[in-house]
Amino acid sequence: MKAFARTFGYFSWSNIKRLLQGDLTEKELMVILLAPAVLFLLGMVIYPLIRVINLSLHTVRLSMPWLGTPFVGAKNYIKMFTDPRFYHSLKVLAIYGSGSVLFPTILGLGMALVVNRTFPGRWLARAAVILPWAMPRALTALAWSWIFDTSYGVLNGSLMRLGLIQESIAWLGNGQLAMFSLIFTSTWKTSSFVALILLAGLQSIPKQLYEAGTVDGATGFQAFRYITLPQLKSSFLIALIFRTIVAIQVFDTPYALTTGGPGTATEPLSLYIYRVTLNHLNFGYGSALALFMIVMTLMITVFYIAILGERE
Amino acid sequence: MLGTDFNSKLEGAGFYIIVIFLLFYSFFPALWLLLTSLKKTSQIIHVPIEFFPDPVVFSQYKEVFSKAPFDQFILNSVIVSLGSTLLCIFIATLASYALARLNVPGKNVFLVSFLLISTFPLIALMVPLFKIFRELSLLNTYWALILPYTVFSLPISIWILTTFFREIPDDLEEAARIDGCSRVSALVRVIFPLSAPGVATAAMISFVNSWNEFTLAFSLMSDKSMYTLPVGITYLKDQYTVPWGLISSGIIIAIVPLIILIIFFQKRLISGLTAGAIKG
Repeated sequence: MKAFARTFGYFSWSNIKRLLQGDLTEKELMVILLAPAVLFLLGMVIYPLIRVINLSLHTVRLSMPWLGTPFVGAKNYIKMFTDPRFYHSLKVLAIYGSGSVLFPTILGLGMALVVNRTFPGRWLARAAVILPWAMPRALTALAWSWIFDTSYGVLNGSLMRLGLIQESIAWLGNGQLAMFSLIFTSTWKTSSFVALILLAGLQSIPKQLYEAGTVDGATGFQAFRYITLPQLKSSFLIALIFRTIVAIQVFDTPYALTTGGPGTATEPLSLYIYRVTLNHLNFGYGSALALFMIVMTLMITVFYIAILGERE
Repeated sequence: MLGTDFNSKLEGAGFYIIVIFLLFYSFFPALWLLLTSLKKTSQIIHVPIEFFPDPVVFSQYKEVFSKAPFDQFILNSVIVSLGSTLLCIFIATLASYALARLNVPGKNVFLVSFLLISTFPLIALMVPLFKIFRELSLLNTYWALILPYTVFSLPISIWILTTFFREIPDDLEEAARIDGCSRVSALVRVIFPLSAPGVATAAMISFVNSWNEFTLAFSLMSDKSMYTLPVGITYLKDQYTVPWGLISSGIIIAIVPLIILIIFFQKRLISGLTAGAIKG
């Protein structure tokens, strides 16, 4: 609190006058410049984090205010680790996560290799690479749910026109197909990001390496295998870690595509957190689930920072 | 020689087939939405499928404004996105100037904590934010979205701006200060204009982030008059017969600003997006 008061002290009227006149010490200037960012960080991330830890140790059910908000210790966590739907949501997350990390990486590499070349019409190809990144995730998923629609969707419609199927396929109505469609949609949306990271990596590979390779008589494929891929190693790592973090948290894509269905077949942890808190209004238990996700993300991020640190 | 020439032509043809496949794959959803949005409803649900609108009608676009408060959704999206972008750029400029030009002790602690928040799960933060905003009576107000959006665009903006500020030669700033500028007016008159491309990139990325955000907008706004575009359009699906024509025209309207950004600023967007990740 003292530090807080001291920080605010820097914003006195006389300081603001001195700021405009330009005779602040470097230290005072530094505090004034950094304070807004730090205050936002404290207010919108650190304080909510403290609140979510606190909530997870209490019974907080907004639909049953007569229960009050008693301290219950680890009760919400015990409930979590004995909740089959929690384990199910983790299993969904694991399947969805591995698909939507693996496929965007492969496809993103392909896209990056294409737009790394110079050819007429490259700007259009580049636009094709960033369009999926720029589309809102929820609306992308809505668009694909229209394409996958059983009765009127263009996918079934085209397959029938081509005579490849006789009856409509319920792409979003069957557990396994719904998971396939979810991973497909997510791959479409997120390959761009991987492609952009790998493209930056490709452009930083020194040209001399390829020249030396040509002198040594390397074929195109050998150059790719022995120069390009090893040089891209750290870009791959960055893309993989970012993809993993985003995949763990994803909410919009499954919500707008399948709302977790059929049943709970495509309900990852994020959707379960939403159901528990905003549908059942059980904020205590929801906070325990939320904290589990935060810890999972933090562990991966720390791993990421450690790797980056090693690189430097 | 003849053989290699033939080979490279064959390779060239193969390459263009891949490019055409890429274009089709990426543009197809938007293209299909556009075609759907120009059809009459009777044609949209026609079996067997009809690919092209016949006749071309604009009634879906008219109807989306009358069946839902669509102009209100647009206004909400604009207010929330512009508000958070301006606030984010203002705060990021101040912080980046300090990080790039002053001797901040523990500079890396700042940069690492900004990296950490950029990876925080929104759906998990939604839980305490809902409680906090409820207590402050901020649910269903623009602040409930502007404040968190500002924070979540801060990390990448600070990364981009710090990089730009570092590249401006010290001499320029010193010259301005010898001419009697204070540090702040040097920042406003010299550094900020010289970093215009960086500022523009950071602003575009933070605008797109806010414009597209769904998780918080969906969870924190329960009042229909406060829905942003992605939320308002998603709710159109919650009906017994899904109005795909309205949804398609709604999505097309929502992505127009994004397509304009991609066409005019693609190089800048690409460099900005990768700056944080690569330099990090």
